[in-house]
Amino acid sequence: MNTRVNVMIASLIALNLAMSKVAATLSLPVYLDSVGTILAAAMLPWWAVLFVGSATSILAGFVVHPAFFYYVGTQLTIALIAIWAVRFGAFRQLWTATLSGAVIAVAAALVSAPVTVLAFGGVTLGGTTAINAVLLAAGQNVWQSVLGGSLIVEGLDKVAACLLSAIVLRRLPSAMLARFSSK
Amino acid sequence: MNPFVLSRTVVSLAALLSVAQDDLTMLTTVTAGLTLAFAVIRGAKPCARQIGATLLMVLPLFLVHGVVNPTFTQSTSFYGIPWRVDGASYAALISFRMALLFVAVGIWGGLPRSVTLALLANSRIPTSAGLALMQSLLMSRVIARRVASIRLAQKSRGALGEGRLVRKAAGAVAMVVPLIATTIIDAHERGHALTRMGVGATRFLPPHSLPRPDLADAALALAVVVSVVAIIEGGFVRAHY
Repeated sequence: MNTRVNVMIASLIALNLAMSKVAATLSLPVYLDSVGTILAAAMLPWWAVLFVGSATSILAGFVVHPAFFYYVGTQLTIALIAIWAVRFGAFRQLWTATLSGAVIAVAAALVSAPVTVLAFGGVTLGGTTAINAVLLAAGQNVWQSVLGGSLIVEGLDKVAACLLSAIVLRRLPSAMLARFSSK
Repeated sequence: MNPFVLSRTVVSLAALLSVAQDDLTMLTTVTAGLTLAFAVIRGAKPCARQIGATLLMVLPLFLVHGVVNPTFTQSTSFYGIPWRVDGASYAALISFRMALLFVAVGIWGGLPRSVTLALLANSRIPTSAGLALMQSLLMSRVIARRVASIRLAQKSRGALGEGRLVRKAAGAVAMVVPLIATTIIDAHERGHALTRMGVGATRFLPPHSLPRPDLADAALALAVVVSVVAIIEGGFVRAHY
């Protein structure tokens, strides 16, 4: 593995871990643990993006919260869609980045909802549980409420992550991006 | 216990979690045993911290399934609040599974950092992948420190978004964008410097060597794993046959 790519992989995983801690510290209703994965899609080869996604889940299970172990599939889904979005130049403009965020959010919600229901009985981190409880009290079953809650939270989180990534990519030196380009 | 043997034992116990079935007695026994082991190995304070973190997830579970979830039928009411016994037992089952996971992670997390790094360096995963994982573990602390200093700087000039959600989000963006950009530029420069120094040109040699487990440690670890298997299997057999 190229040393430069290796160091960048490590930094992006660490960024994911640190960002999820920042979100928890500021009590934001988002996770922000996929910014590094989305940036990796714009800067690194596809295998490195998948590595960043899966390693984030595993390490976050130890460093942030044990529940993260179960969401490896969600991180891999985010990585795959982000790679696809980068190939279509989705992070060049803010509105296309927002659209990519929405697509990633729907996919992430669909993948993570079964894990949330089967492994955690519908209770996860942060504000999602409160939304799920409100939907349950409104008469929906666990699956419907978890999916509804995940769509709301993931929608906020992934759109924010994609917008942040697009803003950061604009601020980085172009020579650096060209060196790391996945194309 | 030798930290090397301890870590391997914890990994084996975590793997056994997948075997855990729907038997509350069995899960209670295993969780209580592991929590006790955790308190003995790591001390009361880290154990209490881990229990607190578990309770943060357990309490909403009981609230959601024991009170709110209409899928479970209401058994009784307590000062006008509905109480669903089936929902509460379901919440208890999930809670014990989570507690087990929290304890396993807590024991692993208490290992000295040098042992964690040595384990990664000596594991069978490819050297470059191990190197990336080791760096990310160390880097996450550096970034966390950077977050703290940016927050302090923002606070001192009154730019920290606190209070309303919109202000909080604006403050977070002002903090997060420079943080991400700096991290990436730093990584780029570090990678460049390491390449210039010849890192990656030759095979990476692990800097730490692991202590060899002695016979007593290995026997103790085996006894723990066998006891847990026996408890799980016993509970499983009682519950299903």
